[in-house]
Amino acid sequence: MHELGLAQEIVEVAQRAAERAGATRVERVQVTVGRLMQVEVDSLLFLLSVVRQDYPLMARTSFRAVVEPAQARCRACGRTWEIEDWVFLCGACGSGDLEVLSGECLEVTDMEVEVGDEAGCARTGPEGQ
Amino acid sequence: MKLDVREPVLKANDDIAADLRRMFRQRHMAVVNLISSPGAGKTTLLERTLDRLRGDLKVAVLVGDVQTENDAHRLERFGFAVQQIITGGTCHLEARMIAEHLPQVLSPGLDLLLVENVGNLVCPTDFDLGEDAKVVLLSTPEGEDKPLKYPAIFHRAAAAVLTKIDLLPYVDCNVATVRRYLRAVHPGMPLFEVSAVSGQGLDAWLAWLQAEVQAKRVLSD
Repeated sequence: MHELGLAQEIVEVAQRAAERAGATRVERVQVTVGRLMQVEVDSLLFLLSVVRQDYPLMARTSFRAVVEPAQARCRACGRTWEIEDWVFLCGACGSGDLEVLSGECLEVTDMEVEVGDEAGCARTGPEGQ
Repeated sequence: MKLDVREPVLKANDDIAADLRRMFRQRHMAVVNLISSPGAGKTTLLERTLDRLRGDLKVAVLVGDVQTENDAHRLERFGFAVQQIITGGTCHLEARMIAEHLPQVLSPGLDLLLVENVGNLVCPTDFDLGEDAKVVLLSTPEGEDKPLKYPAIFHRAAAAVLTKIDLLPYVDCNVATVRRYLRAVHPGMPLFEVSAVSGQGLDAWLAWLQAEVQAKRVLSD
């Protein structure tokens, strides 16, 4: 169940980013999950919907996950392909000398937030005084 | 308003792990993180390892379990500093747990820190502890297809240990098949075939550990 820990970390990262931006509400959070990270996306999304309940800014946030494919390049013959079955051998020349180009990402990629100004709050600043 | 975040989900863990790695490097301590399913023989391999390294290297051990201090008690009798980490339900060790328990085993001149992770082949994979190498163990009774069933840890670990090879006559495990599966998920990965009971294969495993220690000794700060 390491998806629960990951969900908590995702919500924490989103909370910090929202606070830095002065957000009053988080509309959407997009995470990128690499194919090689062994994360069960459906259970991650379910757990995010549970964990966010402790965070007032995220009461109505929709969470989305984009799966990043695992791309590899063979250093011997130069072929590039997508790994789907965890076999790290080149299908063309049989070499095991590969470079993994993608599929190991696990990040909060972007968010859509509402900030105070957009909601029509009165501006405070030199021009308003 | 759109926010471009691009922050790793495990950044909080990775930041602590990076601090630990810097400190281990300054102290020229090699750190090895042992991962396997429960019952594969991590503690028994550690017992033999500590027994053989006595008088040769200065070693410390952190051992993680969901409950009990049983493993720490088993490992204490070799005269090295041992500290149990009770995770209380968490299925893996995290960098903050290492940072918290390290002071209990740290002393000047340590050559090697061995970390025995919680028995689990999935969750410990993604959590960096600041180690130099993850080592994955599989035991002969578990079945030769473990590398295909849990490929991520076999892909990321630097070396694999096939334990309980004294049971090969009695269990359905073909070592050549294990090697073939390992080559698919991690081409070139070293595999040590050992029996902690008979001592067979321990020399090659210990030589690999010694090489890790030597590599860390010659690294500049």
